[in-house]
Amino acid sequence: MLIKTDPAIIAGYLEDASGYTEGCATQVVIPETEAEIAEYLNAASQRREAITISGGRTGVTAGCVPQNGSILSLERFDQLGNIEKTPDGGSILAQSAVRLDTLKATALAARLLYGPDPTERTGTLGGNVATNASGGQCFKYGTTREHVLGLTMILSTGEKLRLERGQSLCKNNILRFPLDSGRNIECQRPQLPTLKVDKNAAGYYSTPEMDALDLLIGMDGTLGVITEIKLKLLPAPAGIFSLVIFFPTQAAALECAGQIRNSSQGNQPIAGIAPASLEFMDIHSLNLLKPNFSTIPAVGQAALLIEQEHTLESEGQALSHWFDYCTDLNVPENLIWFAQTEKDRERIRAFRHALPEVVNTIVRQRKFRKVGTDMAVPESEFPGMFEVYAQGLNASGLEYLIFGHIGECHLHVNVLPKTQAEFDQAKAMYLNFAQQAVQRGGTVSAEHGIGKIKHDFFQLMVGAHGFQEIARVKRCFDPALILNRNNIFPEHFLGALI
Amino acid sequence: MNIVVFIKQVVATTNVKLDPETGTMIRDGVECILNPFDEYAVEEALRIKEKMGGKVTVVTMGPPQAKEIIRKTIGMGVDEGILISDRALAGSDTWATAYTLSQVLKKIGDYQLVITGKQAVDGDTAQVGPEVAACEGLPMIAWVRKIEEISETSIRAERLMEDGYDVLESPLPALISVVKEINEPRLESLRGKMKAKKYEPKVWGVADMPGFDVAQVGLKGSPTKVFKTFTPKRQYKGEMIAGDAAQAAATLVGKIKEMNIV
Repeated sequence: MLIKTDPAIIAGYLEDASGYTEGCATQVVIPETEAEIAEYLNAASQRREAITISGGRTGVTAGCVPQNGSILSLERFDQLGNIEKTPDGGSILAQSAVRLDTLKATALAARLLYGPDPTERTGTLGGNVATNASGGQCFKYGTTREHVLGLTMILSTGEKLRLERGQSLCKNNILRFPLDSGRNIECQRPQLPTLKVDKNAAGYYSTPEMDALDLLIGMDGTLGVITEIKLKLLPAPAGIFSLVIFFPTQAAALECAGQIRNSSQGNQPIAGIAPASLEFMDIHSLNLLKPNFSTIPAVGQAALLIEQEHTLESEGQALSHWFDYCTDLNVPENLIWFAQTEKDRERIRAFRHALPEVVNTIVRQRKFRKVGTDMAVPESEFPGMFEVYAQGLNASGLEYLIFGHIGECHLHVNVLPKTQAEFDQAKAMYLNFAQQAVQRGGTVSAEHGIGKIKHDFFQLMVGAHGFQEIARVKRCFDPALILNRNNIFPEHFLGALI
Repeated sequence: MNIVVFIKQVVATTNVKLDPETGTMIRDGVECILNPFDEYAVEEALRIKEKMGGKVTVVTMGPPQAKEIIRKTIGMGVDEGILISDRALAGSDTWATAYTLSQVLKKIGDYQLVITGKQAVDGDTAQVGPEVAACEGLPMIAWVRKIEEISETSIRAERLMEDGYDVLESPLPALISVVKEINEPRLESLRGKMKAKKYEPKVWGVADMPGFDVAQVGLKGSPTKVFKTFTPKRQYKGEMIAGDAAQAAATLVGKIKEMNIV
């Protein structure tokens, strides 16, 4: 095990992609075995040393940024096992520091697919599981949760927990976790308000029929240190093509997104229209990209980005279905980008990924953090929620853009403040949006998680009682309360319980 | 205006593997793409056609699988594609290729402009375009970064130079080669892709070109002789500089000075 105390080295572990700058730690601990983690955590529990777990540091809510104590970096846990093939795909064991891009490439080489595709491909699988990461193709493949078959976790007591999906189901609201020490953790599942959306990264997972494993997915490192994960692999599609459809009005884009969503869910099927991802960019997003992408059509007021998978046999049919649909939409040919070769699809990916990069460049120049929302609402509430965004933003006079996962009714509003007053104004507006989303049965964070910077918004969802419930569950796993303090809920809720 | 664009299929990787026995490129399992510089040539041809009307024809010389890059350009909006494929052409060097393509131009006959990419990214010779112009006695403007004006009878274009650019004017027909600064190539369109899937390019062999002199092509007709091809070994090694940041920086500056880089 390595321990590094050089401030220059520690500094490299104090930031993620959130822009949170108050990171502070006395050392970085880099274990190489589970036994070393267990031993270190046990000792740290005795001396009540705060531990913050560090993976790829690609998160956007400062979940991996320590405020004191030590950093536990899992960087040496980077081994990827062999693929176990099954008739319907396969599975693979991965240590927590294996990068998402490594897993995806390994699966693809075996003609298999790891479904989740969080935007940040250098993120680690441990981080993906701890935050229940999602991404563009969540529309078809769901979040990381649906692809986790089991995991190994070291508790702050030094005990090891290995759990497979299906091994321990919630009974009478009690969750049971068998530890290698012979002891069982038994706790009542957290009593949290029921959401009307499936995509949620805010707080612990809790439903009456839940698998105990699901409590550990999306727990933001508050319950233990994930060291190894068993992941599900699916048969890879034979082919995929990307479309970017530009619309002369935003209303047309929103209507089309609704149709595609309905079709994919089988409510009002349109032949062949069932994409793997369905994303949206408004006019402000397109305007930010125009300097770098000169072929963005001038008349485009909004765009939908679509990825459609197909088999070898269905390729021609898939193309003609989309062609027919675009013809029905009356979208002229010059307002559609199409990409099928790897090289061309890379151009579309670059187009999509350029947006957050352009935003970050502006933010760096202005030296004010962007105010970025992450709310999802039930489908029936989506048009109303969009109207709330549009009215609030247009009346505010602030610079903004709206983009994201319209397939899951999950858009990101980014406000780019130029002054402190604008920043404060944007934060107040965000709180209003969050309230509206919660009232509509939605979540304040569908994919980014709560981390250390969104407690206020999460409180709107679950109230102080919800914080206490999460803190209660945390105490069952981490009695010394040393792991990832201040993630998900303010740490004084732990104090109230002691 | 009728425009002919010469295109080439190249492997989609910078890490080309060679068969140590034969010295030839291993093509099995390697994805092939349209030479990136040729995409700019196709795009420019399509833009001229959109402005002036006419027809864009792409021509490639290669094995039957090179039809795929023709289809790719059909998807972008090209009207017609011709594959030049014949066993007699195997092993042709740039001179023999240029001779062949000049015979293709003779057969096409009705064209006002020929466009090529500045070079193919596999051979990197940048010779074929100028050689075709020479064979056909066409005026040639290389490294075109912008077409300032074009009519049915003349073209004025900016030629990219290391220290600026030249403005050249030429009567048509002429041949130009283009650099990546000239435009941003379009993607295929959905309609184009559907057309391309069913599209069967014309295939011409040497017998289809009247007066074709077979003695000028193939391995035997090529003046270039390849004695050996190999992947060069990387010779340099990295060196880790120890010490804290300030010390290491000072050591590094010293080393750079030693090497007379600064």
